[in-house]
Amino acid sequence: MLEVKELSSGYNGVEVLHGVSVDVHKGEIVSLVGLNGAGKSTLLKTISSIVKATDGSIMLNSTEINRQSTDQLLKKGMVLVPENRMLFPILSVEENLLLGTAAKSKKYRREHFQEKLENVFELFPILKERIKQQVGTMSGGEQQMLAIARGLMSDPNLLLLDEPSLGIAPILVEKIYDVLTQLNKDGMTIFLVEQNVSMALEISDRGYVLDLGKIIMSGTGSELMSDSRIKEAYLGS
Amino acid sequence: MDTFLQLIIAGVSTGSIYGLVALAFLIIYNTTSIVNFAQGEFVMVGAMMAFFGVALSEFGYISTFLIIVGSMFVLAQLFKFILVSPLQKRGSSIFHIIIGTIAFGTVLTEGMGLLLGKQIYGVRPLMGREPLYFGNLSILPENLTTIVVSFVLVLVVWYFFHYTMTGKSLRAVGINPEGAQVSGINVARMTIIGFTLSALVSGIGGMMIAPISGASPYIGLPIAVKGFAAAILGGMGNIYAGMIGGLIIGVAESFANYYISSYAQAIAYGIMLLMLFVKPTGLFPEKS
Repeated sequence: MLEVKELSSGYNGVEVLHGVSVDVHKGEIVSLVGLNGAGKSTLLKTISSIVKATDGSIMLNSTEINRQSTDQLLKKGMVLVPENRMLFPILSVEENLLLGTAAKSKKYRREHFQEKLENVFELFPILKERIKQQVGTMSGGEQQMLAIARGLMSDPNLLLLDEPSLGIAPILVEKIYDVLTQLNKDGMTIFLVEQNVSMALEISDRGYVLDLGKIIMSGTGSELMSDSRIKEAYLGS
Repeated sequence: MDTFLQLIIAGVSTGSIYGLVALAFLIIYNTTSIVNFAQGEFVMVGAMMAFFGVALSEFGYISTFLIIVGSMFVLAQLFKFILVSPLQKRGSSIFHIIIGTIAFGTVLTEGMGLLLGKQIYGVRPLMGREPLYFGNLSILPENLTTIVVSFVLVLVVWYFFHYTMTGKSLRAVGINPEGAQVSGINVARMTIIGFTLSALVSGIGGMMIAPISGASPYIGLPIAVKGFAAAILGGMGNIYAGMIGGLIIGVAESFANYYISSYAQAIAYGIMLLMLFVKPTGLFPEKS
């Protein structure tokens, strides 16, 4: 579904990713783990066309998407739930969710907005209670739920998630991971970037380890979990 | 009592122009975080186009209005593609872009000044020069038009920003451009819509000012200062707040002109400074 080949990119002439290749097949949960500064977020941003690739190719459903804009990619069904959530704090929950449909047509909003709203409220009932609330007043966990919900509003089939567990109470992290597993069961393909290595690999079909802008290891979730180098470097045992 | 009310009327009339300029400021600020110091020059271009249309070429106000809309549209594209986009592509900070707007404004003023010199050109008003009387109070028709047009424009723009998808998308871009991009908002398109809308409001402001105080290449700066003061006083985060700020400054100036006329020009600066000391977020800060 998503094929990244020999991808390089960076900021202001400084290369962060050096020839990264990653595959995500339809229906999978694939994790990308690595230390702070490894280039994980840069990879997701490059795939989503927020940062421009300097070399290599990105294919979505066998079409090259290197030169497409982020809103075009949303129309094709790929959405990024970014690190730090990037919500609109002075707007309400409902307005944030509405803006999640910005890439879609007026017709889509007229016909599907209510239905999509019901769908995300089913996954995250707390958002329904908070619908008119200003987002900046909500807890980090609630905001993370909203960020995922906003991503789901455009009806994607590939979800890119950047550190959904960052800075969130453990009980809410569990809730969010339950939702991700549920979404995957219903057919959503998920590419997950995490520092919380054990949690990510546990729900993943496959995983990649990124270090200093290069993929240094890949395998199934359980293979990586039992690898001694991973245990030492990322799991602290 | 009559003097008091008459001064209020005069103040509301000039204040609504300041409010209109503040509105133009706030549209750009709330969509791009850029403070456009060329805003006054945008108003000047609107006023000069009114002079070209009505006085020089004897067009009617409708065709002049269309000329202004056209020129402001072109001006917004120039602003975006000559100034803002190239700077953004080089990774310049907002601060650099703001400095760039000062340069853009200077080029507009001096360019127009080279063509037309420093004199002030009169423009025939839309509805004659006979004052309208309400009891003992009077108001010139163009002042009344200005008040009505300004209020309607603020309401329309406010409604647009709060209740339409495009308006909400514009605000989203202003709050968090990257968040807007990942939501699927076409940020480049929104920026150009914001610039164009702001330029149109400025152009209409210029058209309103031309018959009242005349058109000249050099009217931009003083108008921008008043409009900016109005926006600071009202609060930079709210579309309608600039109009309230404008009215307060307009009325204060009107009273100062009557009672302490030598200090009148300092009023706008004084209020702006006071506000920056006491409550820098303005009278109506955006709740956050």
